[in-house]
Amino acid sequence: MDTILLIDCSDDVTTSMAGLLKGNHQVVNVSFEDRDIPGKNKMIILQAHDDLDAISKKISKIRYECKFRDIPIVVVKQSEDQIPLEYYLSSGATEVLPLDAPPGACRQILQGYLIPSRKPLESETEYLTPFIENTINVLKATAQMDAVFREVYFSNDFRIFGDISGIIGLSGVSEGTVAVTLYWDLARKIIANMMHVADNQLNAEYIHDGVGELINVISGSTKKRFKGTPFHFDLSLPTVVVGSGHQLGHPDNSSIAVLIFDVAQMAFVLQVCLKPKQKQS
Amino acid sequence: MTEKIILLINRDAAFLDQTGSTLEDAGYHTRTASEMRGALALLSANAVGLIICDKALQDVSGFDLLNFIKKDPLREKIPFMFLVPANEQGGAFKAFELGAADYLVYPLAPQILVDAVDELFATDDDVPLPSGIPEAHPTAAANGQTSPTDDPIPVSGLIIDVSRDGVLWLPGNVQSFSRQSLYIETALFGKQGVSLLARIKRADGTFVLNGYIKEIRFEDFQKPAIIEMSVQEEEAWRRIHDDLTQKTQHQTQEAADQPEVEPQLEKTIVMSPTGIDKTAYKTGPFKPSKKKDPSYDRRFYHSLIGRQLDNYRAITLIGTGSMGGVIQGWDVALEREVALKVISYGLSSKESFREMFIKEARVVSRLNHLNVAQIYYIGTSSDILYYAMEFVDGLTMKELIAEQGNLNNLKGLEYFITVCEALYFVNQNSVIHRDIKPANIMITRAGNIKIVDFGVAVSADTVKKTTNNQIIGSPMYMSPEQVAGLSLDNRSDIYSVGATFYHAFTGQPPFQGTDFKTIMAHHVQTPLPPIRKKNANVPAALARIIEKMMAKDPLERYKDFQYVANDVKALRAHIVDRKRPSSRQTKTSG
Repeated sequence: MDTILLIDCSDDVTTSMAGLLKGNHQVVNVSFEDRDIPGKNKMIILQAHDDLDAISKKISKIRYECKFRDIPIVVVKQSEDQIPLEYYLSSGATEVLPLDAPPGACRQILQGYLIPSRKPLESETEYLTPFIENTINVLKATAQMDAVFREVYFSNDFRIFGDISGIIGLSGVSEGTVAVTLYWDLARKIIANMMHVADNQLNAEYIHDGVGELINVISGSTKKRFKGTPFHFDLSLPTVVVGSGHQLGHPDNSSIAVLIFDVAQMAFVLQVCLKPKQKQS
Repeated sequence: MTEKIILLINRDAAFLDQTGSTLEDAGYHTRTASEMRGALALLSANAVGLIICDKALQDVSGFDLLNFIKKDPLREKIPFMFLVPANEQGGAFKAFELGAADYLVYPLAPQILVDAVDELFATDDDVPLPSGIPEAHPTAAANGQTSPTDDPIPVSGLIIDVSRDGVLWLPGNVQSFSRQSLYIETALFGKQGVSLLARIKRADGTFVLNGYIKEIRFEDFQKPAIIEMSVQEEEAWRRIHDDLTQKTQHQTQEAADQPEVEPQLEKTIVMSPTGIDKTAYKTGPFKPSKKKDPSYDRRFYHSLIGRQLDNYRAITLIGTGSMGGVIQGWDVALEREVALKVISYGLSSKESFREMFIKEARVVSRLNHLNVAQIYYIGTSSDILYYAMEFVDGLTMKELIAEQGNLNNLKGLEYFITVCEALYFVNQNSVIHRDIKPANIMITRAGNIKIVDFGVAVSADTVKKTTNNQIIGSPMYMSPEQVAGLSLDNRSDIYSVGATFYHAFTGQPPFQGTDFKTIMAHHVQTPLPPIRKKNANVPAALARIIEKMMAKDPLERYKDFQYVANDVKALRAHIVDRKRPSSRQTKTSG
């Protein structure tokens, strides 16, 4: 049975959530300190309170513990709470529902997030496999680190949670974007290894160049595999983006594959959005 | 030129060491790379003023790199010097063709190299710096003075896009601006000295400004930085700057950011006739509720992306309509693309609307016609009601009109004929679409017409039986009887098709106004503005057909779509005949 973890929720919220979440789910309410490992849960629901800074940190902490897994974090807030949704979303929340939101809307939205992720289409596997293989190879060759591909899910969200991303635009026969996103702890380790410098010597320039180079090499080496195929692309300049909950610009109406890799106890993701160009007759 | 960085690219490490030393001794800064990838990384990180490149690199040929650089708008102006072996000087011609500034022959005498580089740097002072490092302000440099005081002016709510490469754009919040600089808060993690583009959307168009990162201020690396972007003195920036200054002073920024009214008027509405004076347009078919937030619908559709409903994988959200959201999907059983239409949360909780949604699916499923998007399946998964239908990959007529200005050509006439024939079939099956408009006519990549969104379509029998008191349709294309909330027949669709093709042939809808009430009143009361006044090139016969379709009184319109199609076909044949050379000759000789 899937567990839906409620954190710091009042009895009222627990009751109404249990009512809304019909089906084969076990709803468990715990305090933030007693929370279980988020990866085992199907959804996490957190009730917002007055201490905004504390709630933001809690969301970020849970999101970090999810290690990029597609686990929706839903914040339930008081109806009089005028804090913009963006505040919670940029901390790591997937959705924010005020207590006076129409129950029909809440039920459908929660239900939507509980539907299992889809598997990649055959055509998607065809272009994702080279990215997976090259990411592992590049990390081994440039940073002497062993990455293991864990899973893929699909999103059309512009937002990914992590501290830093390197993103590169693709154009040509196919177009789209590829981005690598990491948390600082892993980013620093990889860049220090890549640049052959000690962790404490890393500065903004090393980080900028290291993350830019990482996405450049992953994309560049994968590009060669697509020569002569409908997935062939050219690369633009790498762009480096920082900030918790930063947004990346992927093309409109596109499906973004989020490939999760584990490196020791840490994780990073490669987002691939690749669309072969079609012409209007 | 304030910097003289030379990028040396060669497979031979010894050559790079030796040549690099020669140039450093001559006062130049050098960077070295052995392959294209490394060279591009160095180009993005440094203000390179000259590239000296070998014919063969580790990963690609030097010609490939030269070709790539010369196609890159941000780097094309960097002088490129090619190195060729003495016995292969033919390669130099190819390099010149691709845009190289000069070439040198192996083996290379140090003084010849330095002389050639000196010469290039001496002559390229008027070439803009490729990677964005600033030159001294020309006026200030000439006068030996600093530029006049130009304190940054604070501004709020000005959101722009920033980019390093013109491909990927990230949002930026302009904090302040001066004549030379924009101060932007952005998550883009730049580097001092690198080039930057800023895209500003305004009422009079979208402008892309060139510049470079002059300074970056971080509180910490986990938060967005404030970037000072030095902006090139271009006419566009001068205009924007002056305008912004004026607006900031008069606090009229809001006016520039006001959303356009017109696109809303193309949306489908459902309301009661008495509701015209109220706010029903905003709230749609529901009783206005203070708690109603339309974003819930979109958030619900969004929650389905990346999930699987029965056999259908939800790929990406295509759009939202009057009854629900449309998601591009993939049928895993039959392995084909589909469009998944999902009922909105507000409607799904009301039994009558669930029924209407199911009815829509049934209505469309019995319309088996090449030009009507087909329904494949209707189902409920996790309590979510949806149907899977034919995925139409192409453009809407609305997008085509926006792209081409108008469709006053033979192709437009063909679309007109096809739409009439398809709707004749629809009407013959006792179905009235009730929402024909450019956005609901799609042109596939193969050039076929598909009529979509039967969300408010009804059976003609139902209409006759119902005491109708609802206004349903899109204000810009509604028939007068729709506006009045009267019962409808096929002639209401004829009016809407007339209005749609009025728009298609002239590039403008028949009636315009700032709000839907005004436009709806025009449909009832105002004589149709002559088509040829809006586009004199529309043939008079075509104007007459559309005017007849848009008669206020349904009895004065065509009886059915077959008559319209026949008239348009005759007109088309006449036009084609007139265009034939033999026809012209006959007329001349006769």
